[in-house]
Amino acid sequence: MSEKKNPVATEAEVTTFSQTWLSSLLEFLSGTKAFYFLVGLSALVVLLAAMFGVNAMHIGFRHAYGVYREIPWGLLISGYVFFVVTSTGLCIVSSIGHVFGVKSFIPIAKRSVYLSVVTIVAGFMVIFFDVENPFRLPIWNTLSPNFTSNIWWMGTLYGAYLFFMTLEFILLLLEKHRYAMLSGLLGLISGVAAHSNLGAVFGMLHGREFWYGPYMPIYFIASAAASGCTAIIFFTYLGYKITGERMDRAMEMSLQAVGKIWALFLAVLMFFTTWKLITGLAGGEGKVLAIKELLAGKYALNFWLFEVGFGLLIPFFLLLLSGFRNLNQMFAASVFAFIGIFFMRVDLVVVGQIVSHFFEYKVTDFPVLLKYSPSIYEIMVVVGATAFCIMAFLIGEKVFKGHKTEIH
Amino acid sequence: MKFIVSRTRVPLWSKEKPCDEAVEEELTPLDYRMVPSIEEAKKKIWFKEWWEGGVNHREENGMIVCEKKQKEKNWVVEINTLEDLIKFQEKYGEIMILDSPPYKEVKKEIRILRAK
Repeated sequence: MSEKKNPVATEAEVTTFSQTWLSSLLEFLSGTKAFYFLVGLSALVVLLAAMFGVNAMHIGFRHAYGVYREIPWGLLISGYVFFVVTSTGLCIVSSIGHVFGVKSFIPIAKRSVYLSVVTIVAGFMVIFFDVENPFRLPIWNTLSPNFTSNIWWMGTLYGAYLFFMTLEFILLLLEKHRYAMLSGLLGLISGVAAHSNLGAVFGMLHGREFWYGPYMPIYFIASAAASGCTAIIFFTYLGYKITGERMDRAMEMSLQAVGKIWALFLAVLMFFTTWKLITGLAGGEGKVLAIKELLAGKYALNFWLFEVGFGLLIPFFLLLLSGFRNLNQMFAASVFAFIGIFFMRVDLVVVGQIVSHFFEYKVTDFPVLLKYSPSIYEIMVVVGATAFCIMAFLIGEKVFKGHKTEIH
Repeated sequence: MKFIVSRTRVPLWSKEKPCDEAVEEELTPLDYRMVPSIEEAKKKIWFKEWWEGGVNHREENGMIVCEKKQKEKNWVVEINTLEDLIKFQEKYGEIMILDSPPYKEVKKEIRILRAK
């Protein structure tokens, strides 16, 4: 009787794979002092952030965090959105190559998939410390699903997304491109569904005029694509700096293609932002108040300097200036964009809540516009998640040797 | 002259030849690093991996380079005259000639943009 061949991997392939991994892990121990210093420093920040988070759980979030009943979503939700948007964006942009087979996008595939897993885990780390009892999620998500809840769908779809993206990365390492493609496609579908659904978590809140409407799910996907391009250019550039390797023509062309898509999505976001403001100013009184606060109030610096300047205009013009060829300028654009995108998320989450529900009643001593400042606990959790991404990126570059993709 | 041959879309679900003339060959990747000398490279995090992963280490055009021990398979086509190139283009439609990823045996790549 003939022996059936394992369709995914033979025993010999798995052995070779584990040997490669063992040698990679041993190689990890051969880094320079600067490398270990950076990895150690990042790990220390992660540990410190975890201590802040656990301490906040112990003393109670209402005491540790700057959020309160009227503004329940603060920096942690903004941080969560920032990381998951980046993850989904990495998945969307890289899938053009490794799912749909467009040659120019294939060189960026492995690093992007790896980073999409890293950033989604960072997002989960942040929301872990935002939810008072995070362990209830997997239990009640399974035992008592509420299909009408956006947050149930968000938890479920992001869980599926993490699973498929991790599986895809493993299959890419095993050079099983057919199965990696299938897993990538499922990851893309669950990622887009999860992410537009996250937009719907905001967009379906009748009580918050600033968010309400069909705009949010669409905006979240467009914004994710722009964030994904930012992350690909930022991390690929740094990856090559770390290994000192000369970028080959295929990778250069890949980054040029990513740069062009990025410029397109930045233009789309400018268009979206402009019309959101114009239609918003013609909207209900609560929405007008929030937008005025964003344009000329306490959040004006965030909006004009960081969101519009750093997040949209400077990267857009730097990209045009670079001609999509000058990688130094494209990297500079990605640095500005990363800072700007973070402020975009903060503004999106916080400004949506600053108008009091009861402002129309003009209750004495009850403010029309509420205030929110993040506490050191919230800041440290987000810093910790960022440090986790840096640490995982550095280790990934060393262990996976620059994430080379060999598909021809 | 040998060219790597590819298409703008890669069939991930099957292993199709990019064109009838393509032959799969094992090529030797060249691993370039952006440091001027091997002495300088010794201080870098990646030196051990680079050194042990290749042979014939040398300094070239202000960079260092070695030939990787691990070969890579690629679809290759041999075109020796301009007439052959024109015939190839006429057969497959729009093509683009670009620098290939650095290999010892091949320096250029032909990408078939839109097959006839």
